[in-house]
Amino acid sequence: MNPHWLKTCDPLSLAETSVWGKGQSVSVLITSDSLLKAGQVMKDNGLFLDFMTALDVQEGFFLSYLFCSWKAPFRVLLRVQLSHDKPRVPSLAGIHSGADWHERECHDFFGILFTDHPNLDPLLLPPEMELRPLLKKSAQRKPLTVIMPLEQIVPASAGVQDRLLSATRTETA
Amino acid sequence: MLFDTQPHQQDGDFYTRSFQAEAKEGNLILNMGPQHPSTHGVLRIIVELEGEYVRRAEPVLGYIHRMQEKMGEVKTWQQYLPNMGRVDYLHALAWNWGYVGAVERLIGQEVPERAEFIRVITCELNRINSHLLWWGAYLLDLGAFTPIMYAFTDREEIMDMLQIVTGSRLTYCYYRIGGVSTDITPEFIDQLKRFCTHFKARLPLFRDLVTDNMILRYRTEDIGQMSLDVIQRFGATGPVIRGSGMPYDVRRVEPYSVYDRFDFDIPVFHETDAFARYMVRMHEMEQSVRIIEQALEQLPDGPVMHPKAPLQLAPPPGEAYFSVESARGKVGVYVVSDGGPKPYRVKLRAPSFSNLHLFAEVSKGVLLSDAVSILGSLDLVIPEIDR
Repeated sequence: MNPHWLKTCDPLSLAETSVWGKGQSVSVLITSDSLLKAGQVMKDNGLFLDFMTALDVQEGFFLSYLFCSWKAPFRVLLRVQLSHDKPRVPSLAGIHSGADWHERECHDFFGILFTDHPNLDPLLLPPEMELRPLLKKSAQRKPLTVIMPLEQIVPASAGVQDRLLSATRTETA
Repeated sequence: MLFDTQPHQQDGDFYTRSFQAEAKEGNLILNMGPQHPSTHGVLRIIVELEGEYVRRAEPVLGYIHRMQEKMGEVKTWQQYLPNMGRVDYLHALAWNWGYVGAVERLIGQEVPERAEFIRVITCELNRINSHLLWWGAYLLDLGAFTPIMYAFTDREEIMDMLQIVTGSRLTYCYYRIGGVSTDITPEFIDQLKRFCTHFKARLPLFRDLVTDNMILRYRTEDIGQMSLDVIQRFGATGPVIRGSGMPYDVRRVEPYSVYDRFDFDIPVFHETDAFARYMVRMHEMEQSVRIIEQALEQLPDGPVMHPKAPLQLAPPPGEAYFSVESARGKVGVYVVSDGGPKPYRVKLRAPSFSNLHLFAEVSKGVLLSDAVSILGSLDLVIPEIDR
């Protein structure tokens, strides 16, 4: 069962993922508007940002933020979908300081713009480099529906969400 | 153009120029590195000095950036394996494990029990190896030359042993998807047993020689204090967080492999300073020996490779993540497959990356010589940061 506080980060869909190892992993699809709020919810519930990264697919960019608990095998994956055209997302660096460099790296490799980021200078690539090495050619891009299970990438209806959040509350962290 | 790269009538490169734009007048801007001995590799740190005190510091990365993650996308799943020995050259087996673990999880591959034990034994041996090098090099940073000679005496022995099983001395590529490449030999086991006994006697010697030394205490005690809040915000792991009172160890929190069968402690110190991180590593070496001894005792017979382990891989579409505890903290490998013969995306989560990130914050207001002590106490491996 999913912890009930996950509802406070305005999820579009919630799904349990099994391939992440022992314990519990929840994939939470949100919009980029609710990212800051969700980041704060993670912090309030004692999770830390393990890493964030992007995936270049046909539909656009698929961002994954992995949050882990310090005390139990419990993980939350925040997912945000962005379009290829001017990808922008708010920076989490104000809440999780560690996001700063992960986002800078993501900007280096994919060209995703993080608004309100303290310093988006190139981190690993030379400053004069304009190439975004992890961008794929359009022929190489695969549809997200092939890669990820549908329940992790498609917004769920309200009824389904309630069912996922219902029943017993699990204690975490 | 995203960035202004026109030459200015100022000194320095892009990073120096943007750094010194915010400097207080009269302060000295100093580049430590990329060829500074205390950065152990090619790390560059720009510092703004007010007298002898650091007002501000900014690490500049990328001097040995090799785009490991892009390499993952152009090689096949198996071909990418040797790269893992080169991400963190001091604890290469942890990265070996991270990658094969992620792929095994993706394809649902089982690993024979004997292979799991061998992985534990060699990974812990590699951890001792890594801590020994850190110990010698850290004291070298602080001005003591003798310890590195002692450390390397034992390190040689470990490297000889690992050479027997892995075939190489530093950049190991030993683990395979579904097991390990070769079985350990009886001579390796004998040598390892002798080493464990011998090494347990060496540790008190290290303690007498160095740990109680006054100069070391002056250089590390109450230096580089990092509150738990800072560490948690930056997501730093490994001895850095265990030196600040949080018993976070992937081997305990998210148990993997057969670690739950061994009796070992997670050393935790609450002083938050450089000396606490020093003590965590010294105790960890003892615990690693304990794990190795138990693993040798319980070592089961059987194959070291799963008979149905695939040689050519085309995993089903999906994603997987596997994290292990390396000498520096949480190593994580995230792989995404589109069903093809090559990974669609490989993301490497390096512990040193997060551990160095907090340096800018904790070095504010410290003496420049203490900044060297703090940097050393983080135990950074630069190829892992730059990838």
